[in-house]
Amino acid sequence: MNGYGILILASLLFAGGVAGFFLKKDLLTMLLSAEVSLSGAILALLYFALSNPTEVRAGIIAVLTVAAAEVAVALASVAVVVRVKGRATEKTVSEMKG
Amino acid sequence: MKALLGLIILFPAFGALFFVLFGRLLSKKLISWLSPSLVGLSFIASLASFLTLKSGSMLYLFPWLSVGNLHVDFALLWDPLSAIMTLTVSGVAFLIHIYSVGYMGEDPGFARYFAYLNLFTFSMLLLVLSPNLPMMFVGWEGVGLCSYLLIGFWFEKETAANAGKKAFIVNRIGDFGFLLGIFLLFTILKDLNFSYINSHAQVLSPAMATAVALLLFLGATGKSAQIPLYIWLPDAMEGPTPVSALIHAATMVTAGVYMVSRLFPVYARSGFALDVVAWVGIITAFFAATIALVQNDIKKVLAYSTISQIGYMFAGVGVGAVSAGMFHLFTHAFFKSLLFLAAGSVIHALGTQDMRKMGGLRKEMPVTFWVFLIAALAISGIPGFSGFFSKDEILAQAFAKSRAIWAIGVITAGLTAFYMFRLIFMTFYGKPKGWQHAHESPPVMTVPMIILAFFSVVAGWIFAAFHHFLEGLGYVRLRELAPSAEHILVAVSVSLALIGIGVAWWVYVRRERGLNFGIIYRVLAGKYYVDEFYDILFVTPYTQGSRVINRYFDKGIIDGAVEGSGKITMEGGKLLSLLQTGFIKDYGLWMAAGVILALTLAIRGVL
Repeated sequence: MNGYGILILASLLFAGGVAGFFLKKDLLTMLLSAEVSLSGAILALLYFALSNPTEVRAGIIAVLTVAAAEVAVALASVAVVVRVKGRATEKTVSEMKG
Repeated sequence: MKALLGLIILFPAFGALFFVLFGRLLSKKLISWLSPSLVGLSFIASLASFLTLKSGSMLYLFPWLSVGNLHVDFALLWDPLSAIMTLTVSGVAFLIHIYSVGYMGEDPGFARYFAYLNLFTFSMLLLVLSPNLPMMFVGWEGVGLCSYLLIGFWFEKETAANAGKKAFIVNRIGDFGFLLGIFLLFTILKDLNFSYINSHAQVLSPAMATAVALLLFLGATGKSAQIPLYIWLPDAMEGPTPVSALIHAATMVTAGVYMVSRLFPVYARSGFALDVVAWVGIITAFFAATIALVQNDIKKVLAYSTISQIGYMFAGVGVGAVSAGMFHLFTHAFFKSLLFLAAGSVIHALGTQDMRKMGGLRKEMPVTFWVFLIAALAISGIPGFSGFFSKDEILAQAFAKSRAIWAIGVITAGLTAFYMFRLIFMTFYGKPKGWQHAHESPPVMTVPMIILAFFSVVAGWIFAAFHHFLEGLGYVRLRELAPSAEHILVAVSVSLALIGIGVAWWVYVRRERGLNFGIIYRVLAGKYYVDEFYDILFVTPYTQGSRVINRYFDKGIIDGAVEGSGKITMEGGKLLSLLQTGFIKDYGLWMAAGVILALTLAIRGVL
């Protein structure tokens, strides 16, 4: 498989994720978009892991960990917002004060 | 056996530390045995050193300061000068510690008192045993601190607290000069050991020697209560009377005389500085004696008398007779501390210091009366008593140098005899005024007084041996006078002293009321208004200046800076909080912008 193909796919995933994050209003969709852009980053890293295995693999694991932690925290927050406000959009969150 | 020198300062140092840390837990009985015993041991160690050690022995303990080319060792020096001082200080301190057990017996601050008193003894011994100026300065400041603590010992009394503060501040002015003198000496000689300074005094140019000597002498006028810095000593009488006897009569206030004697070669290098010392001394002697004529507080009379007698010592050293000045210091330590202890005994019995409320105590307090009489005869210079030998030595030496100094000194001797016997006649003679019953003090107080009375008589008899002993220093010489001249001088001063006693007897026993000289009396009773003058000249401008600085500099600039930095942080925070919109996308945008910026910089090779 052509290495550049993987990089192009990674860029597309990343760009799509970023676009989704900025364009969508629903928090859950924004969260998913962020996950997609993270996947793009992981894919790019996988390609680089072919030439420089050890360190980049460590990086991949780090990104995966961050993604998992993000999902855990963010998903929980979104669930709370939904329970309080009824739905979770960007607007309902911005009205919070603490 | 040089270790003996260490023991001399170790005993009181241990006492001070022990009583400060555990004084509250110890019984009065233990303290009243332990504290005087420690000073007694210190005295025994001094005696043993005197008998076994050669002059010039030095106990080297450890290097204390080593910065650049300044090297100061912590060491103790034993030479004729320090030997005399150490014996006098530890001996008198021992007797006064015993006396204090009786005098302070009822005081709730018993442990604190003895902790301070031991600390004082330690500092004073450190001062006199130090072989270099920086160590001497440590002792110098140590005794100053103890003086402050003990003047303000009854600090719940406002006058006592203020008197302590006054003593401390006035001494600061003197110490400022003392420190500058040390610095100046170091910049020229690069060594602060007395032996080096004294053997290299010739290196100093006369102008430099004058500057150094006068700066150091400013320190001496502060500590030894001479014009212009004498004003703190009369107020220092607020402290307990044994403290006045030990610190403000016998030992600490004579430290200035000791210091000038110690650095005499530097003073001798500058004739002008010696003249200043002699004239300041003799003028102070006269000036303080005139004030003492009209005081009604028994301790104030003795305080001015102390100032006056220290003036004599400076006059003696200033006319070049170091051993005469030191000899008067030595005899004065006995009779003046005895005068204070006897006055304390009277105060203890009557509860007042006002001589107008005393009178007729001769029968009730015979021991106190007799020792007081002996001390008064000694200070008046009556032949056979110690003060006679030392005072006439000074006057004879002054006569050989300057007739004017001698004349003032002789008149002062007459005044001294007058005010001392005025005190005796007002206190012990006549009818009781305002008291019903008085009782003699307990033996714990009278025995030390009797011992001091013994020395007040005999201390003068060793004058020839004393001078010979001090000649070991190498720079002590007395001018020779023809015996006939000396006899005439003695006759003059003794007859003036007798006239003083006679006038006092005529005024206070025959007439039974004081003379009134109108304005002269008022000026003397107002102590020449020097305190008021200093108030206008220094204190008021200082407090007013402080007020202005408080209003404009403190409130304006310092407070402005403090509050300003707080305000800047708060305003900055407000400004930054504008970025916090609460919209996640805004944060994402900032993040993306940051990533793009970082990537751009990375690609262009900046990062």
